[in-house]
Parts: sequence; structure tokens; C-alpha cells
Amino acid sequence: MRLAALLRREIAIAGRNKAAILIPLVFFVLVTSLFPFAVSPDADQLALLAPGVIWVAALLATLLSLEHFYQGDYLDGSLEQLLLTTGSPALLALAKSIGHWLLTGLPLVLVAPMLGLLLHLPLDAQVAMVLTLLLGTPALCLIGAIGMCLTLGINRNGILVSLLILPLYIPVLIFGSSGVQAASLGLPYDGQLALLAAIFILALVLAPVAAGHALKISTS
Amino acid sequence: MLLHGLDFSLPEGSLTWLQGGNGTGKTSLLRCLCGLGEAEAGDIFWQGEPVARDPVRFHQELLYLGHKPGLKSELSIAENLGFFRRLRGLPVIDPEPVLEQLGLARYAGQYVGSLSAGQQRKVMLARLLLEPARLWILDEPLVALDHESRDWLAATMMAFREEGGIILYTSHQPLDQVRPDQQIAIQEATP
Repeated sequence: MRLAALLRREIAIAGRNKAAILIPLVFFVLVTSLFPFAVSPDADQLALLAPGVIWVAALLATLLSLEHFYQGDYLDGSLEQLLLTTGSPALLALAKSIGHWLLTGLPLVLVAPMLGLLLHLPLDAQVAMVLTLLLGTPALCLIGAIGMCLTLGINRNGILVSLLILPLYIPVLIFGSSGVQAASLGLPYDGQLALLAAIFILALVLAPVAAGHALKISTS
Repeated sequence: MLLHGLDFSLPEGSLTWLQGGNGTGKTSLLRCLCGLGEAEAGDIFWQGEPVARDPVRFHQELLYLGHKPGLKSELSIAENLGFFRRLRGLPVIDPEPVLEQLGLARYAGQYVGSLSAGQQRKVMLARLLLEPARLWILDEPLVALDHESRDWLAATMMAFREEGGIILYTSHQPLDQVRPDQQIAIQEATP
């Protein structure tokens, strides 16, 4: 019930502040769609680059949106009220991660097939791309929450968050893009999906607890 | 070390005024009591039990209003107040009667971001009557309030004390109509 109330709040706030949803999405679309101009319009070459380009853009878009979802609550004092009223920092961190993914991660997954077409990605690879993003982007949101919660009290914490969490993002990036790459070459990609699922489950179990502790440290 | 040698209790139906100069640690003490800060040593008890044993129960009975209003500027007054009730597992009720007392009823549907600092402060205080609690911890509740709102707050605090509620508040000015049951003064240590 508390989780539902927190999610409703996140969605209501994002609904009034559409820039929070649109900026990462526009960034994702712009970065990906500029590649054919910068590299080559050749279909084969673009298809080869597409998995890496889409995954790097998705990772950076997630990173870009992190600050908005945590810093505002910290600055206006609602974070400490949420901590006291929910009584569970881990639940609060989980709710914020779910809200973050629903509002920024899911739109990336939904837009990705259009960008796949633009980069001449084969149909099998498109399916792999959606599946890897479906497993990978929630993991990115959960892992990102740890770094963001740890650095809430620091001004201009964006670079510090990037330094803290980028090493943890690398496995997701490797398995995500290599899964799409394998699919575009007609190879099986079950292994990459299984590893991404494992990372997601691990992040779902551990990240809210770690982010919850970080929230307590940042607000104390 | 900011504070040491603290030992006090807050009886039921009492009002305690925590006094001290700027930077003496009043807010830090309140935050420790709420669980937002951690003390290096010592224990905090709630109804004879250490708070650390069941913090969730303690937080259900506590209402802490700090320096920052803790309201979302993107949501309306009614949405903000309804959210806090929902988070406590309570049904959302119409806040209008309480907002009426504070002169905010006509702004109920307005975004908090469009209100003045004093009005935001009043919205924060409306939570006192909308969320049932047994302990109110109020950090500088008089800041940015006009005369009418101060009177309202004083009357609300006295009514809560009559009902057996416990209030601990900090303020640099006394609340005119309210006589505290006990005063705690934090003094700076002499070097």
C-alpha cells in the first residue's frame, strides 16, 4: 500500500514536470539518430554499430535522469518526511527506483525499436534489443539509485555519481550490447539474457537495501 | 561532540520548549529523537521501549515538522496532504475544514509551488490536524507565520496537550498564549 502510494506520487509529480521524462528520451533519440550522419549511411555498417550505440545511449540517458528523481526530494525536505512516514528506507529506495524506471527506462525500451529500424538492425536483433533493454534498464535504475543516494548532500554530484556507478554499469552494458550483437549475427543470445536477468534480480534484492542505507547517511 | 549529558523525559499531556542559541544543536537533537540522525551514545525510549527495537511503531506515532516544509511544489495542497495520509495507511479525507481554519481553503487545488513561504508553512502545519499522532516534534514552527496563524498554532497545541498528546518544540520566541510544562535549555560549553 505504501509502495503504491509512493509510486502514485512519483507518477503525479512527473506528470506535472514532463521535462523529467522527456529530456532523457530526447537525449536517447538524438544521440542515436545522429550516428548515421556522423559515421556512414551504409546499412551494414550501421547495423554493426547499432547494438553498442543504442545501449550506450540508453545507459547515458538513465544516468542523466537520475538526479531529477532524488535531488528534488532532498532539497525540499520531502525525503526526510518520506523516511519518517514510510519507516523503511529500503522501501522508499525501491519505490523511487520503480518510479524512475517506469517514467524514464520504460519509454526508452518503447522507443528503441524505432531507433533500431533507423540503424537497419535486423528483426531478430530488434527482439533481442527490446528484451535486453527490458532486463537491463531496471538494473541500471536500481544500481544508479545507490550512487545517487550516497551523494545527495553534495552539490553538483553528477560527476561523482558517474564515477561511482559507471564501473557497476559496465557488466550490464557488455551483456546487453553483446546479446543484441549475437542476435544480429544469427547466434543464440540466451546466455546474455540469463546474465542480465541475474544482474537484475541481484540488483532488485540488494540495491534498495544499499540505497536505503545511503539515504539514511545522506539525510543524517 | 555537539551535545552530552542529556537526560529528560516527555510526560503524556505535556508541552516542552527546547531552547538554545543558534548552532547549539537543537535541530540535531530533534533529528536524533526522530531517527533522522544518530547519537554516538545513549538510548531513546518510547513508552518504556527503546525506539531502536521497533522504529516503525514509533514513527507511526510521531509527527515531525522540520525547517523545510517537505511538500512537493508540483502537487496541489490537497494532493500533498492526501499523500501523507495515504502513506500512513489512512484514507484520504477532505482537508478543507482544516485549511479553512488556516485561511487556505480557497487555495486547496493550487500547486504548492505557487504559494508564499508563509502559506507553505501553514500547509505543513495543517498536517498536525490531518495525521493522527501522539508525539509532535516541531522545529521552529513559528517561522514565517503571521499573527493569526500563531494563535491557531497555540490553540492547536493546547488542545493536543489536553488530549494527552506530547509536544516538543524549539523556538527563539515564546508562544504567547502557551505556557510550557517544562523547558530544556541547551547551553554552549565554556572553553
